[in-house]
Amino acid sequence: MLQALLVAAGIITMLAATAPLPVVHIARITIPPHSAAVTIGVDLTRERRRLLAAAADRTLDIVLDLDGIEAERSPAVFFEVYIHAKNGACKRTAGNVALFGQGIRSEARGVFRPAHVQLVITDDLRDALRKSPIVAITFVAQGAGGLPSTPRSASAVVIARPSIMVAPRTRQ
Amino acid sequence: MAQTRRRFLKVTGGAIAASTLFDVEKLFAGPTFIRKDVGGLTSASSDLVSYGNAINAMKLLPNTNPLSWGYQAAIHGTTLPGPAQPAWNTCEHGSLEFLSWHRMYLYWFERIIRKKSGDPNFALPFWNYESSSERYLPPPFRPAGTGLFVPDANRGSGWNAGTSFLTSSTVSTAGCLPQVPFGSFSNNLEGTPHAAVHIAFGSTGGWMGSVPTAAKDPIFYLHHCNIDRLWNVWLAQGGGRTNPLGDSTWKDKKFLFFDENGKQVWMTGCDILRAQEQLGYVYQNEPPQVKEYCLKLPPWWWKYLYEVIIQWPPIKLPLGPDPGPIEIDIRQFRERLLKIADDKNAGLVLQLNDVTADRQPNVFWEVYAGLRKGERAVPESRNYIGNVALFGGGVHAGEGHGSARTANFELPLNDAVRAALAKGDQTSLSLQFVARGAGSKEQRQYRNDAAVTINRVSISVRRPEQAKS
Repeated sequence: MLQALLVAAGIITMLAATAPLPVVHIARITIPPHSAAVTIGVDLTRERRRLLAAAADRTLDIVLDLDGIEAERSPAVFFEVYIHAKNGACKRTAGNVALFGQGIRSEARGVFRPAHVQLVITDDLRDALRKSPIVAITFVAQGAGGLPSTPRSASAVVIARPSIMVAPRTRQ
Repeated sequence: MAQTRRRFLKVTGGAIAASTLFDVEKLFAGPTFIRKDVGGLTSASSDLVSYGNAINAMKLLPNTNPLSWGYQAAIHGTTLPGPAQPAWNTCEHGSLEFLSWHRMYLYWFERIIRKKSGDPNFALPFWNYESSSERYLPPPFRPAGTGLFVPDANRGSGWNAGTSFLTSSTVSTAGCLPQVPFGSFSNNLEGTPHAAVHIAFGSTGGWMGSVPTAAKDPIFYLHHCNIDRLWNVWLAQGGGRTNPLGDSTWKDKKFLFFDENGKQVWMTGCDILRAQEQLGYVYQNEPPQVKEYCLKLPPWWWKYLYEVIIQWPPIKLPLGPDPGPIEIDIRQFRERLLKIADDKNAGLVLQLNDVTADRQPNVFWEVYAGLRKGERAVPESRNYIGNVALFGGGVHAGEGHGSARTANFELPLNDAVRAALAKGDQTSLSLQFVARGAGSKEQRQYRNDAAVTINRVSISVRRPEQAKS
């Protein structure tokens, strides 16, 4: 009996070791013009356990990969990105999406280049997943501090290929 | 003696050690200027007085004069009417050259300011906005009547009044400084604080928020000095942080600027590696600068002649797990391959050229040649010939940002061919690409996250030019 259990445990460990690093593709995100904030929900029920395991692995990071970002004109704001549990509060920003010199069609010289932003969200996603398998990603328009009105995007911003991926850790 | 991979590496190392030909000619070329934190300066500080005076003088020149304020700003970007002038609109964004181009730009701009101001000790200050006491526009830039002033309509509202400020998320370096690979660091830094600071001005209607107008505001150059300083800070952390000295485009691509006499000058990445030694400046209170060098190998070393023996159709490394072995038909070439593999004056190489990926694969590949069914793919094997690792070059999104640059690899084949063909019955030579990641655990299967194409695959014979004669 004990031997069978050990064999089973060994097989499970082997399967875990050979499983590919997960990538969760998210539907295209559009931040409409005049937006102050946009929140999208991502159902990570299927990947929750593996993402939590990755978050606990010190050789790996979970990355919010925002590829193919573009706007017709400068949005005149950047976006703070928050990862949080559904209905949870935005506590700390995971980083920014800031378009300058790339991703803006009206300012392109020669070949247009969409922008590509990668934000490490390991800790934020872990905290969110512990509360709910449905995770929210919130983009908050941000500009200069001290202005009387809330910053709003001056142009629609499209993120064509967003995903959440597990990658070898590159920070220290 | 046969040309083995081990010998190749040994000889390479020997050549490098023997020649050690660094670009020493620019060492100790002049005095060291100190770029100071603007937070410690006042309107009466000589660097700021000189900066304002030089700007006023440059604004008197026509925009077609390379030493004019308009021309210098247009090198970064412009929508000025009329025919484009040399070097206009050449700033690098979204590429590996973002930091190096801006370092060159600041260097020549600073020399022009030094000459136009008549202040031989002038150095550009930096805006250390990560310090909580420096989130507002530095006070010397606010009052009208100096060259440092820009009206609200072009600077944006609230900056001159001292009511607008940079928020903590705008200036954070938490996302960039911990990154170890150069591309990840540069890409993150270019976003925040670099782009975020620009956009904070843009959110109030300022020139700084848009590439074609940003460099018309004198605060632009202090912002970029801070970005340049952060590059030094990042390198000084060590831990494997290094500039992309293996990327020939990054090292050798030439960019055009103008010196303080209006003469055209060209610079490359190798010219700006060590700010103090090569360019003569340090930043106030920065850690000791890391000294990196471009090796200048003797010309005979890289003069090789190549003859293609076998060309093979493009190879695709698909998303997900590893593809199976690719069998290259060698029936017509078997004897010749063996003969060349034993030729002491020749080397067989696998050339993988024009390698592209639509995004960062997040793995690299160990490449094996001639591995037989059932044989383990381990680097200790004679069939292991090297790695294909895409970083910067070849990646069309992210690090490469859509640039046309592709990656190329040349892997020595002699050992692997001898091992594979020793038994005399092979009609094909297998090529196997095994994805690896952190830890390179053999038993673990890594997943490629990108569509990777090796557009030109060939087996060639490489002969040193000397051996030919």
